[in-house]
Amino acid sequence: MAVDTDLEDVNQTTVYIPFDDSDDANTNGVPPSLFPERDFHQGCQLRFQTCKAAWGKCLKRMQELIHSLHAPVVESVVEQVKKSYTDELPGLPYPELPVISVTSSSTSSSLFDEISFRLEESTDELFDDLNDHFVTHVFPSDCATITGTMKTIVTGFVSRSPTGGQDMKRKPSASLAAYDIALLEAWYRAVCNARDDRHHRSRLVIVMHDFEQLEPQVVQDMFEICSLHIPCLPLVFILALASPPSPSYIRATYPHSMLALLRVRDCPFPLAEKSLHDILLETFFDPVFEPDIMIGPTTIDFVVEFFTRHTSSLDGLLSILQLAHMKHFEEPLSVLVPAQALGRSKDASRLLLTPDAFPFLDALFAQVHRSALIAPVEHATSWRNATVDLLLSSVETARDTFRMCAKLFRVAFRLVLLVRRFMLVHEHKIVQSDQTMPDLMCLALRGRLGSVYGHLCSIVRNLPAAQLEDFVQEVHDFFENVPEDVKAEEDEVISRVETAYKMFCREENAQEISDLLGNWLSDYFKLRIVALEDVPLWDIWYTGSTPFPSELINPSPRASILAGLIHPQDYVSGEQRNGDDEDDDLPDISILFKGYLESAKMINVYDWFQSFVVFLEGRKRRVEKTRIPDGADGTFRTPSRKKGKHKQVEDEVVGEDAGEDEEEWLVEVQARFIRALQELDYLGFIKHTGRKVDHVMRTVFDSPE
Amino acid sequence: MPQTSSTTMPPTSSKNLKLTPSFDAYFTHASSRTRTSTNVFSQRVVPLSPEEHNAALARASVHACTLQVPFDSSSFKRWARELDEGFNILFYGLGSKRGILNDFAKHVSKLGHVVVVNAFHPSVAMRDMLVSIARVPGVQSTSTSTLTLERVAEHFGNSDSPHLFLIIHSLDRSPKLARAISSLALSPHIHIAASIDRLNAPLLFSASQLAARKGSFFSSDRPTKNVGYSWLWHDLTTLAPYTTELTFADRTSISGASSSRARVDITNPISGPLTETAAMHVLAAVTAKAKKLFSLLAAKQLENADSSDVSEVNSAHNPHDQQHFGLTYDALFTLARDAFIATNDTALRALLGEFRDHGLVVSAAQPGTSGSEVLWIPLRKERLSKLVENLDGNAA
Repeated sequence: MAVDTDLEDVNQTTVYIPFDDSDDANTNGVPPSLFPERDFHQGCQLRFQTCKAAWGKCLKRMQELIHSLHAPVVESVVEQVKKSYTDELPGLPYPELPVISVTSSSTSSSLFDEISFRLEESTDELFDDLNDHFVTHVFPSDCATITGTMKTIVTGFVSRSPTGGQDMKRKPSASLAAYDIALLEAWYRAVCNARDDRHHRSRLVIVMHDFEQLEPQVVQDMFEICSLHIPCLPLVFILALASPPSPSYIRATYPHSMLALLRVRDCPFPLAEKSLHDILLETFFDPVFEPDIMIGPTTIDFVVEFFTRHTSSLDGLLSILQLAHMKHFEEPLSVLVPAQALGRSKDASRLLLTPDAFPFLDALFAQVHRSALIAPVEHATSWRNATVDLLLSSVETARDTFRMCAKLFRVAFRLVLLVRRFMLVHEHKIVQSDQTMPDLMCLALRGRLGSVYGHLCSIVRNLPAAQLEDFVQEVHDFFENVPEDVKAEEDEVISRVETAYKMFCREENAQEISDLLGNWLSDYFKLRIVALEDVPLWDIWYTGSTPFPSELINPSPRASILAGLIHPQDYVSGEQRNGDDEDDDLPDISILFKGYLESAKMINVYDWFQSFVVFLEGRKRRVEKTRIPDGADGTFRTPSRKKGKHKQVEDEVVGEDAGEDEEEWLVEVQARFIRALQELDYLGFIKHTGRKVDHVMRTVFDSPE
Repeated sequence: MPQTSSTTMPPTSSKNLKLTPSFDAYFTHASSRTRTSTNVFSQRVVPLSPEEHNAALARASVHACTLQVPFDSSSFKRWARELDEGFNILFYGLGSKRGILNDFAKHVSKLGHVVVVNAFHPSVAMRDMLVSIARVPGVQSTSTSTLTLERVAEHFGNSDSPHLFLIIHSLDRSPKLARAISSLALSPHIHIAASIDRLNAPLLFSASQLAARKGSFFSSDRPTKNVGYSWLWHDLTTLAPYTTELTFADRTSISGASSSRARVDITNPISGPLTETAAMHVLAAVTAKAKKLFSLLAAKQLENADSSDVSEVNSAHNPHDQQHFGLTYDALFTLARDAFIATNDTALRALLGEFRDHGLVVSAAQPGTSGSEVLWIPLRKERLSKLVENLDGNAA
């Protein structure tokens, strides 16, 4: 096959393999099950679809939430752009260049997609004028020099036809240079003429991504050039900043002379952590929204750690949750997540009653058995006539139970938060008031929120009368707003709150009411805030404490390379490991790396080579000791891979052959040394400083414990 | 603190080692004077020619210990699914990952068009990748204009476009390429699987680019303008030797692996380093006069090298540093005339022409003087003297 030879050919820089849609035997991209011992054939495909659906539902919810977070920022940016060049301070000596800085550390960069969409399409219905602006995006990679930056800006606009038609070709010979801002000016005049826009309402908006990564000198020049051409070119800059609004990066980096040219407006984004907490709360702890699977405390912990320590980006949050979904649906039983996952009961039994599906049925049966879904006594007698239908119906029951439990759990958790917030607002002292929202979530999911709500209920018992009324009112309102099915389930606590509410109206003793209310709430929380692991078959709908595959997102390539060098045997499966002395099967690069770790900052290559030679010769001697002489001719051969049973004294045939052989051996060692050295170099372990002849410098100073 | 050598340590079960902070180790090393011997590798060890090197490695492959990490190709489907879910994959870990990734490329060619990029190749350029992508039917518009990254991103942003899989070997060798693909990586129909080898390769990517995701929050039908990678990281430790990746390294120099890129840029990219055999072939084909001229130049160069500071002789990391020992054109002309090799300028230039064409003699303007040209043979001292011996032997 030609492709094979091309792929192996190192002289090719790129190889193209055409789309081969001829055979579709292996094309359905469903990976094999991780747990074949309890899976069935169609399971993977079904789980794959279920996963997509579950994640899609979760993603949609979070996108809505993020979108609503973006909305006010987008609104204010668009407003600022519209107001630029019209609403200016009177009496300025020269026009100022409008600059809008958006602190976008927490959000995803799609915020700017949204802004540019709004700016390019925005129509002001009231005045009936089409106000579409032009937006171009500038990335740090385009901006190494001022020429490059100006070229990016100018071509970003000019590549669009002024009349809105098809791209037109400009003759390079008849046109201004692509970096010349006069070209942009000419283009803008043409646009205004074509649109009959005498007031020059369209703005030229430039979004500068990752502003901190741009070279300040280049940016300074660019701003100076641009400010010479306003207001006849209505340029507006939007800077995407990752650093917090104060201390301001722009003011700290650029000189006053440049800042005087700009009119900087800030559009801060809400605090990163708060948005994260809100999104988690509204997605997984909302009384109304029901995610298909519930995430466990370990995932929440990882999300928070990643967000606070690494990148506070909502994109990262989405990726983590998507991975959590993908991981959860590796489990064969997760195929049962949605109701009637396997189709109607008839289809389901047909699907599951194939020999192929027996392991899956077995596992399912064991699970159902272990849970208390079927009473043990009854089970002992009736398992013989248990049918697939029966099994599936008990799964259905478990699903309803879990769903309801999770829902009631969420409602109760929200009530805890409400009570907590009330107490904080009214300045009651709360132990551990520094616990964040995710902390509380994790505690609740683990069923360890007892101390928190116990404490809150004790405050409720001691509430002064004035606050108690507000409190009862709030709790009452809270239960007014829960969904109907929750109301039906929680009639007991609701009626109790109702009673408390009525008692107030009858102006009974406040202390009595607060005592009662505290106890009732405490009972209620105790009943509802329990670990979801206690619900039968919980592991189908709940990720629980399964560890999050964090190395997919936050890997440690360095540790992996070092581990590969120091303990390569750990990567090899057991069969290939032979040896009491583990040094005997170290590859060359690991031998060399040993010397590297033992040496000082600078390494003399010759010394390194010598140690390598000594090491290899030691190994060679050890191998030779256990070697069988080679038959009758008895000639000396390079150490063979055969390991002998008899110990044999080195044979005395050390003639010219041996001398030649010795030389060959040295050449070989040298070649191996150079290869290993260059491999270490390739991996970045060596720096050639040139300070000392044939010395190299270490770049890694980690030392294994 | 008792010193425990790593040989006596029990084999650790965990793959991720616990390491002492490297800054402590760094300061310990930096505070003490480095004691190394005064031996110079390049003086004491004669470098091997590529043929010797390859032959030696072929012999070594029988008893040098190479470990093989078991690999199950069922991972391909899992990776393909991760790509399908909107992530790109980055493979790290010790060992050449080229073989596995090439197999993966063949696997995904059933799902879409594939372009494999050998980023470790010294002369790889963005243009090469675009030329390969242009072979996907429909990407190249009817006009003859060259394909740009924007056009590619736009084409594969359409929901009805085919899928494109980019497999990139050793992405970290070409930061330019890494930057370029950041504008393709978030396109919904472009999927990237790349490998990195260098220890500090993750520094190539900024935090915001790492976290970026495919698909916009706000509307799925409009292509996003964002750049980023959306990597999922996979540890693919193969422990395989980097034979292919180091094809372009100079095996005769200890810094051959790191200077390979720079070297190829200055010399003729086709020829690579001059070898003894190549020189012998050229010398066998030229006239006796030309041979004499060559040995004259070689003798002078060796003489210069001997007379100069010993330590400097082979500190040269690449053959071009032999320039110090070269001869100016005028000096060579005088010598040649005295030896009756060439009596006038034209004749000398004609003789030199053949050598220059084959890279046997290199010339450059001498630094410091204006206009005077310096000529030298880009061979290291030992090789050159061996070559001269051979030449003289044949002549005799």
